Amino acid sequence: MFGLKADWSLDVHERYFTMDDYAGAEPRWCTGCGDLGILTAVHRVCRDAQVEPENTVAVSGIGCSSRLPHYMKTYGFHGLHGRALPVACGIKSRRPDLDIWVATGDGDCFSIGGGHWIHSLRYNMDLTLLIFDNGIYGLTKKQTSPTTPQGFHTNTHVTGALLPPLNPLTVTLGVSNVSFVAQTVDWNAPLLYEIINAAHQHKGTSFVRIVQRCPMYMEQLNQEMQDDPSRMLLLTHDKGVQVDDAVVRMFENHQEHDPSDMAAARAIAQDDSLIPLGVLYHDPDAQRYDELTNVGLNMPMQERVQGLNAALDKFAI
Amino acid sequence: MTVLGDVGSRNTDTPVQGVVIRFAGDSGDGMQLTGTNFTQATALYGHDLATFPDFPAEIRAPAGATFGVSAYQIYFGSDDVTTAGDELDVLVVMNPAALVTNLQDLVEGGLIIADSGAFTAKNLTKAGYEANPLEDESLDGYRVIDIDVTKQVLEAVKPFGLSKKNSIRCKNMWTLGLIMWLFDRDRTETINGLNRKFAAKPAMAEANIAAINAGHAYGETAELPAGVEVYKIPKADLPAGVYRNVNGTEALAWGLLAGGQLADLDILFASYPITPATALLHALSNHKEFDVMTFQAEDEIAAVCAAIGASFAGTLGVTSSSGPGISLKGEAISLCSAVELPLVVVNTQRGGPSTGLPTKTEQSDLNQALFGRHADASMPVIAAATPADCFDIAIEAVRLATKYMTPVIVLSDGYLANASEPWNLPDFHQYEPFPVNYHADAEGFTPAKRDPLTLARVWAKPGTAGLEHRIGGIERDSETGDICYEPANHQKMTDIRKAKIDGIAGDIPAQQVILGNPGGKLALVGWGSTFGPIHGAVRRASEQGRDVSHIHVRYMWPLPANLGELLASYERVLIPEMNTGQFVNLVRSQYLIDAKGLNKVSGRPFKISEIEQAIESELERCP
Repeated sequence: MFGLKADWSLDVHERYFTMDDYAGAEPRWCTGCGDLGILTAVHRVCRDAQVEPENTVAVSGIGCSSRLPHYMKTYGFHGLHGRALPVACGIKSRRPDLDIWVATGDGDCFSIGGGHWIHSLRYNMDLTLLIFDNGIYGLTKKQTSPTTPQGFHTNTHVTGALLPPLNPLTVTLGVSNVSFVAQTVDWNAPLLYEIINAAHQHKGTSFVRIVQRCPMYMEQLNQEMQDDPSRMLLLTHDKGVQVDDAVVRMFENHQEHDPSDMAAARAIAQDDSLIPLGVLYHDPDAQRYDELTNVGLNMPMQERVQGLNAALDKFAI
Repeated sequence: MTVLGDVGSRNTDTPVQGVVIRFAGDSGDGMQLTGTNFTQATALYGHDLATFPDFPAEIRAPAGATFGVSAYQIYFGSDDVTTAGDELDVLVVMNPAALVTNLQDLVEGGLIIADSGAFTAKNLTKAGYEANPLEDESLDGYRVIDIDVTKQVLEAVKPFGLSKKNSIRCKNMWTLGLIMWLFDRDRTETINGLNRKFAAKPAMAEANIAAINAGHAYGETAELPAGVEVYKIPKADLPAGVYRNVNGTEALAWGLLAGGQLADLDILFASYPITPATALLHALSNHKEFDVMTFQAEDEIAAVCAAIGASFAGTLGVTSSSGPGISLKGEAISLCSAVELPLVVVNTQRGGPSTGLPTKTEQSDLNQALFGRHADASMPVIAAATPADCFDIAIEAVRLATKYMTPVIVLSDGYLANASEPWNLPDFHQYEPFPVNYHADAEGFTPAKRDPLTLARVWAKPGTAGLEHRIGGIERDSETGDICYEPANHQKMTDIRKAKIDGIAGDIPAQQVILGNPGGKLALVGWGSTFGPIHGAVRRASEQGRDVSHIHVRYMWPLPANLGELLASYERVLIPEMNTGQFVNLVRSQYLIDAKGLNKVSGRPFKISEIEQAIESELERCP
């Protein structure tokens, strides 16, 4: 009757979370800052996944980006400059049940935290890693960051940044056991949402570089990029993220790219004539250190006692 | 070769109470293995003992080089052994370099056992000898057994078809067999151990066992020089109990595991390789039966940050390093003081600054532990006195860290880490559990809530609904825990953090006098691994009627509440330490007491005799 199936049932959540349930303190970012859009996208992804706020942890380093945990109504840890990833790895190691977000910036992740960036990618613990890349040190007031464009005037390179910027995508794609690499821009909300959502669903460290506006120090540069979608290359594929045709039509350059193809991903990342947007690489089966180290815990008591005695009776030889 | 009889201090007619042996050879000669096996057999025999492994930083220095000499010293006997001994009674040398670098520590008339097969022209030159000391008169003041061990070993292992290289590697076992004969040790456990170790290579096991037995048989049958016979040393009168031979690293590992059990907490031990601290990471790396997880992080900073993350997650983060690595962790340790989460930081100190003497011991990171971080970030610092004491100190670190929500620094050192002693396994039921109470009540919760008595911040574990909160390095409002830059709030928070740590002085035992009277002419105040030599020296001086006491401090910060008053009750206070005077400065500044320092930074522990001399000269200055 009325086409309703006999076994129909409404999937009622015992608790239903709205975006407000993930929204913490009122953000203190500048008007027009790209961080605001990223925060909204994170709240939406959390709501759509219906992850309990008490099982969600936002971890950050230092910088504008790293204020994010304060703007979440979840557990949050705002630690040291460059060290968000090791804190997150420590949490995930002992608490694989928690859903962990890591918010970091181009200075925080690619400069002072460079070592952790490389090694955490290889550990591939289940973390959603968002890099808020505005190409400048914002909170400390306009110093050159690793991704500042060459020639851009900063307070530490007053005649312009001397070197070509670091390419975070090629570095990331060069790390063995990397499992998810995507890039987006903060000002395209549907694409931003889809990419963060795909990153969140991936089991492993999902690296998302978000090319992001800084209205205080990089306004002109960002505006040029924003006004000229021909500088972008939208990656499309069944295995990538799916966005509305309306969003696709905003970009004049498209490329069909299979995210399981590492060689193709590296080629796209290497070509700096266009800014690729979408999922460059995805390997859902990469090994996860957090899974491997949790194997064998919670032994039965008998095995524990055996282990204790064996260890005590060990003779050094 | 002239061999002299009983000319030295050691006369075999008189009962011997204790013997000091040092095994010395190339890094590749297996001296550490020989020493540890002899130690196990000695512990099983029932002697009290202390060991001192002393090895170079290089893994395999060029053969025969003086800088590649690796040594293992053991003092065992029926006495209450407090150190590995000042002077050697027996020196086993596998080559000329080992002889030239160790002979100065041998007592006059002491016994040298030398592998004459290694005293080749090439090796003699490398050691700087112009003539073979085994063949001239230079060793006339000692008793010498020179044996071509290489030849003996090749003969003994011939039936097992090993390569020449592998055959020669059995030299250390042959030597061990001879020494075991000399001191009447049982070979059974060593043989069992070899069978276990070489379970997959039976020929290697059989060859090594044959080498031990051949060395032993050589002692029984060969014509040895006069005065060399089996030493009979009475067993030590140790309290009854189940003993295990532990070094400080092993005891510390057990203590951390025990602390985790008492606190009902899982542990994340996050560390990065650095000598001599790494052994702790090794020791904990295979203990899943206690739900301990180890994480070899990409660097020191990642290690401490991962440990802090684990503590934020509601488990216990522990990290470990030596001085240079602790420097790298400094920023994060201060962060942990700010966010008020538990953390145990173990510093196995070594000679510094910088790479310094990585395999040698020193106590020069006390200032770093007390003051070596940015800002006012006070935290408890506790120091283990002996290898076995590492167990209790580790438990205490876990208790303080979780009860007071603070990082705790544990000071060990290269000597404690590697030295071993018999450890009477404690009855674990005598340890009072201190299970962690996570905050659970969402009513009126803020992450800034404190226990009014301890001033400890609440520990709210992720996964608990209603307690979602953010913490971080930016100053937190004293009421809400939210970011707060208010001047009055920062003053208040700084005061609270200080008061919390100062208050721990009321939760630790009063300082005891270990030996001697409370009050008197002279107090020797030690901390850390100087326990053995100070105790030995004070005991000898007391036996000679000197008015001297031994006080050994384990709580370096906050200091025991009665310490100032106790020290003021002595006319003179002498503080021996293996640095240029760090604890003495603390004592002077805290108590305005005219304490004097006795300082040694040679990478080696104090000798009992050095401290005895200092006691004499201090007493001479007493009015």
